[in-house]
Amino acid sequence: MFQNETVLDPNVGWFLLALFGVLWVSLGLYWGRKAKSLDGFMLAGRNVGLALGSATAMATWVTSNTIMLVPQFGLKMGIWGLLAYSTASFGLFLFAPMAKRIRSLIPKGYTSGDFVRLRYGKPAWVVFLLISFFYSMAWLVSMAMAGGIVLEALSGIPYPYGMSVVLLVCVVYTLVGGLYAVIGTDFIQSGIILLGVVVVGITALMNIDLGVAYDKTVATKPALLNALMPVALLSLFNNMFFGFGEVFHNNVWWSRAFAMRKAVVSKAFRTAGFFWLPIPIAVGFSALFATSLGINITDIDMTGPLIAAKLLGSAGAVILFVVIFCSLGSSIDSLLAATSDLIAEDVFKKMIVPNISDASLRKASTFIIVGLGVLTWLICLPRVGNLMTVLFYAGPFVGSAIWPIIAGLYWSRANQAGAVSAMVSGSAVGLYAYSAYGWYTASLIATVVSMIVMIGFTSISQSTFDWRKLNETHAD
Amino acid sequence: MLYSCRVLFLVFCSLVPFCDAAGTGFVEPVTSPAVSDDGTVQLVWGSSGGVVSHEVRRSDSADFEDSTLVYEGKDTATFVSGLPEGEHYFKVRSKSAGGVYEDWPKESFVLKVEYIDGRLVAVLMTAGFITFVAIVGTIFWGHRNAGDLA
Repeated sequence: MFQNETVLDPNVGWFLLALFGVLWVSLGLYWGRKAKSLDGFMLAGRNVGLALGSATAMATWVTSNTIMLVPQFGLKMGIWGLLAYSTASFGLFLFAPMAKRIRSLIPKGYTSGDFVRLRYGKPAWVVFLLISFFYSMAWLVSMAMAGGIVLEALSGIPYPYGMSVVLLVCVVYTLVGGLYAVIGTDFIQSGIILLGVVVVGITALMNIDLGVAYDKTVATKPALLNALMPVALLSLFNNMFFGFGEVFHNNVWWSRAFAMRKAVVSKAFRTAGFFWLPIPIAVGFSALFATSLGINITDIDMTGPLIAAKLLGSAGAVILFVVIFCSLGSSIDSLLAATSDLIAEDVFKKMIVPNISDASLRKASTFIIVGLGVLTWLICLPRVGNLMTVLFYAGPFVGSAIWPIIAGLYWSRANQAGAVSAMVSGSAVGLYAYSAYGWYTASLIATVVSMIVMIGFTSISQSTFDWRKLNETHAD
Repeated sequence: MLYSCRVLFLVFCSLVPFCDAAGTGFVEPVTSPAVSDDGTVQLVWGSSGGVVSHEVRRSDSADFEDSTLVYEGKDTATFVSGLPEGEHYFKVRSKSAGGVYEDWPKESFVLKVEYIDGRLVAVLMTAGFITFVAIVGTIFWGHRNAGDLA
């Protein structure tokens, strides 16, 4: 650390960690009693209603990256940076009709991998699983890192310890409760997050003299107010497509689509999108005026915590601490559950042990959750890179998956060759763009290339897909 | 091999307060001039015992006329953002307890801000807009025309 003081005493930090850690694990144990069957553990009985469905979608999408990266976007790219981040809500809006389509096409489905396997066949399925697993790990690592960073910035708890405790709590309550615990805790966490964000936003507004702040920003950071700043403009579409790719392909969202009642699934995602939309603005606008507020940002990853601590004092630091712990919990648990489902269903059952019983598969899921937690911990420990570089490296991969998914859902002539080519070429060209032009072009270019390839292969195809092939029954 | 040397140099410079890149006072970035495509830079400098304050200033000219204050305080790093295109010059100096600030170093750290080519931006923005419309159109058209298969 380059700064000399923390706002909270480390003992306060440890107390808050212990308090909420015990709370989430207790709730996990309580709700875990319902998770008796495989459907219960993986998909909460496929009976989640509108309120819980909206809350879990919104809470899962408010990740620690939202709280930690949005101020960075504001600090680096100004107002366009905040708007660029808000476009991630469009993914939820667009997934609303897609979720309804998914439920119609594969009513007994478990994972996004099920769809790709049945729709396109094994080669596309393998490529898709590799992309999904890579992205899921990048997301998990960035969130665990964010947890450790914010605990250190606010309370001085050393990064390895804070990161380890956050990860351990999330692994334990996901393990004991499955998706029931994940969704139940999401509901509580979403309420805390919304309340905390409103308090932080209003308090920040009350402490900033916008006129003075604007004048100082013009004098010291003029590019932040430049509407034509290239990085900011490009990040608008780049972030949007990154968000589309995350939501459209990842099993976190597909598992929720399968878990909710069909009558509410579309409305739940739309509602979640509306609640999520203003959060980046509320969380990040104060970063635009960091210098004018006399806040020295010593490390880009510390932007959010340092601003909150300066503006809000120790009370605000506690609120931010709680909000981030909730956002971490609501996202890490979802990702652990969904990724373990994907590995258990698509890799373990479909590739290795086809005749495995549901009870044994559930047991395998628990081992996979622990394994994912350990792997994440090992990658996070050396703290390589910053949050933005870690997360957006996955951008080309998720961007390349957008068109195979939406074409697969709606175009009967979309085919295996197109899907594989789109994912591979999009990822490859996107990775090249990442190093040649910058992270703010990678998802954008990957999506465009993927679109061109997918449309090309679909337009020359003569065969059409029989949608009834997607209605696979899960063997007991 | 080159990466290992860079890491070792950085570690060494962070431990030895008076060691810096090309006599500028900054230990990071390690080379001067450095290039940025988004107008940002993380500045890190060393500190020795007894130092109570550091002052970092920025100028748009090599002779360091008309400099603006970037940071003053006890921290040993600052993240600078919002810089427009062009060359920017940075200097840092320190003050001990009861003393005055030392003289500015002769050399400045130079940051060249070069945005991505405007023509490439225009092409990518156009492609992005078309792709966005295509995605939205595909989903909504498909949703409108799809029947219930369950």
